[in-house]
Parts: sequence; structure tokens; C-alpha cells
Amino acid sequence: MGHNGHMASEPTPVRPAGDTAVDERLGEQTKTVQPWVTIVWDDPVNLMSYVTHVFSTYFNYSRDRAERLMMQVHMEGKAIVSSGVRESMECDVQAMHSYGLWATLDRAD
Amino acid sequence: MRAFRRRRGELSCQFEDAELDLLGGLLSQLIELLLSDLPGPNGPGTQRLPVAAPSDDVFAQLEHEMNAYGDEIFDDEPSIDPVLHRLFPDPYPDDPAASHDFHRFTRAAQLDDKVVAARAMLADLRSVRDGGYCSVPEQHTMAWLKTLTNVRLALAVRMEISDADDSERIAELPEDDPRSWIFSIYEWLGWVQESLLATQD
Repeated sequence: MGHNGHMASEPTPVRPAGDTAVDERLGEQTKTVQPWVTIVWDDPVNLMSYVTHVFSTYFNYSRDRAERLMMQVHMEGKAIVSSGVRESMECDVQAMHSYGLWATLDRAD
Repeated sequence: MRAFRRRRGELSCQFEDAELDLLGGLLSQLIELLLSDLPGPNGPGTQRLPVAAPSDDVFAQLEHEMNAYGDEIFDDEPSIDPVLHRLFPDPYPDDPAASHDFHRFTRAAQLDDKVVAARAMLADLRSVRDGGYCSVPEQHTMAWLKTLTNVRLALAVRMEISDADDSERIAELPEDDPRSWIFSIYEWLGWVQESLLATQD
């Protein structure tokens, strides 16, 4: 097993040397995939009804969930509105900006 | 203005002439800001007006201010136009390089989205019938909501509203303060938006 770590750091082999090596590589891949989150921040401009409308329209969240998230933004200053791989979160952030909401993305803790 | 309502399946509201002029002017300014992509003659930030001394003419103010920074939307310099910075916030607050990349790849689409929305709303305003009746096609409602938001965001930056306390402070200003007039427009735009949202449930 000791040599597997060394193998994984080499350029991608044409074919893995054995089953053990394959498992190790999969293990390393899983470790590097970090979930990301989209955060919407409170601002004094956007109307509460509009923020709720955006959450339910864009994310297809239920009215209840959209309102809870809106209230969380309003009361706590921010809320995580979605999570996933980085590319998806960049899409969500871009969409939130197009609606005029203040959104950022970050690694999930 | 009379609030939005649905009548025989059609979404419409009613504007006064002065309100149409006001909205048309604000939207034109917004579109101009979004489309302006040429560097200012004196470089970024050098033409910024002192916010504490606004003139009575909000359009002239907005025009001057918005035109002053067209090119620097995605500049990392602190001199960036605060209106544009608010319309296109940094997605990675602690990572300027990642934010820069994000803006580089999404800039065109983001600008286009806001311009298309503003133009859709402007087209509806220019199709207003006798009596100020303004009909809004169902597929334009999000364009209206987005554009009303963008104009309100721009005005809020102009008035230096960054939290609820600022809003309250400006609401208390005497009527002869120019910001008081801008604030009344800002509030009215919020009312228009609220009225449209009420038809969307």
C-alpha cells in the first residue's frame, strides 16, 4: 500500500497497475471534491416580497421555504440558498446578481 | 399611478404623464450606464462628484455619475463606480483573482440581461395608450421586476443607503434637501414593484 500514494502523484497512468491503485485514486478524487454554497446577503433596497419571489421562481422552492430563507437573510444578515459543485454555484450567483440580489459563493464548512 | 391589476387576463396599470417621463428617463440612464464601455478621458474615479452636494436635477446627476465610470466595471481598483459595483458584485469577496475571472466570463451575459430587461420595460412604457394605461405582457413581468430593482439599487447607492438606518435617516430629511426628492422616487419605484409583485402570487 505504501507505494500507492507515490503512484497517485504521477501523471495519469495509461492504465492502473492493479485494483489497489484504482481504489486509491478514487479515494483521492473524492477528497478533492469540495461542495460550495451560494450565500445571499441582506441589503436595505430589495423588498422582502421580491426576495421571496426570486427564491421561489429561480430555485423553484416552495413559498414556505422561500419565505423562511428570505426571513433568514433579513434577520441574520445572510443565508445559504443553495449548495453544490462550484460551477453550479457560480451559475446561481450569476442568476442572483441578475435579479439584483447581493450574492457570493464560498466553500461549505 | 394606479396599481397593477389583471383585467380579462391582461396585466396593466395606469401612469401619469410625469411618471412616464420619469421612468423613461431613469431607464434610459440605466441602459446608457450599462452600455457605456469607453474609458473616461481622465481615467477612473477622477470625475466622481461629491455625494454630499447633489444638484436638483437627478437625471443630470445620474448621467454625469454613471457616465464617469463606464469602463471600470471589472477593475479591482477602489475607484470603481459604486453603482456598477453594486449591480455586479464580487462573487468571491476574499479572492480578487477569482472574482476577476468570474466577471470576465460572465460580464457580457450579465450586461445583456440587464439591458434586455430595461429595454423590454421601456418598450411597454412607450406603448402606453390614452389615459396612461400601460399593459405588461406576462413574459415581461420579470424584466420589470429586475429593472425596477436595478434602478432602485442605483438610486440607493446615489443616496449612500447601505443599511436600514441610512434609509430612515434619509426619510427624515427636510423636503428641500435634494436627496429627499430622490428618496421619494426610490420609494415610489418600490411601490410600483410591490404592486406588480402582488399580481404574481
